[in-house]
Amino acid sequence: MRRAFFRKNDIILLAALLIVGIAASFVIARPKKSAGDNASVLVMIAGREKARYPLNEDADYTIHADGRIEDGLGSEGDYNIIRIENNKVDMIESDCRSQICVHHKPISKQGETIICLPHRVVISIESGQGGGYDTIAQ
Amino acid sequence: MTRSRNRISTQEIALLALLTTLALMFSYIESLLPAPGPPGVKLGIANIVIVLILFRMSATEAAAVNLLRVLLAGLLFTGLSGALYSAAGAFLSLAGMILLKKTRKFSMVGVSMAGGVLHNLGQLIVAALLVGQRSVFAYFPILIFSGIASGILAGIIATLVDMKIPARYFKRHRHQQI
Repeated sequence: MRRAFFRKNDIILLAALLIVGIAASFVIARPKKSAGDNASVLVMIAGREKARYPLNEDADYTIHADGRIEDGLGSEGDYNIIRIENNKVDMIESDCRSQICVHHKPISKQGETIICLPHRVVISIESGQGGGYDTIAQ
Repeated sequence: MTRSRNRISTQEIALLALLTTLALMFSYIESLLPAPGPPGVKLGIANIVIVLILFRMSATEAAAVNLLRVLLAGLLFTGLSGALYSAAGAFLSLAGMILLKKTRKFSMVGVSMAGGVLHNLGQLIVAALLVGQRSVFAYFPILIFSGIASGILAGIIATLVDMKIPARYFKRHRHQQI
């Protein structure tokens, strides 16, 4: 007994899904605007804004998944370490299981994000409008 | 002695237990594989079992086996948050596959392909809810493509298996009266 793997409708479905995928790729891959001089690095944990740092001041911060953020390098509990350097932010260390955030390339353009799903930590770049220089602690 | 008409037979219980174990083993194998680059990209071989059950038995049985698989895999390998992701993915993909199967217009490969994409979409929605950020959807395109690929793979394997297994193995032996 031989049977075709694909039927006509399967091919139509495949084509439709491919089109959606390709269209979504174009939307995602839009060239991103440069974030400008006053750009800031936004740190969010579980959807809440925790801190905001200037992108043009080199520094390291340790973000704890429970909400604490300390300057420099730490290593206790669930943590992510970000490094701001040369107008770019990189996730340089994390004790999460997937390590996807650590492998992410440094970000510098407006709207770019590095996400650590296990710790629900998101860092993103915002263009420089408003008081981007203040650090908001809680 | 009268018994319910829908009483599940011993043979069916044994078969479903076996299939659940098989699906769980596939989940285990997947948990051993190193995670590829983008998050959420998976082989999806457990879906082979689910698609087979959906086509050879019924939606109810496919849902039961899938639910057990997600629960057990969560307890054994993936952890609670992992189980949350796979539960969302499994729920969405199964719902979609049941609907597509009902139209009778799609083969196992087509149904499985939709299931693969929906599974990834479900996980993405959970991820977006958990981090409270829509930017997670940057992974949407890659997850569509990987869902298509893994769905087709599982669908083709399911079709091959389906051709080899004699129909009587899935036959229902309902005890209508004893």
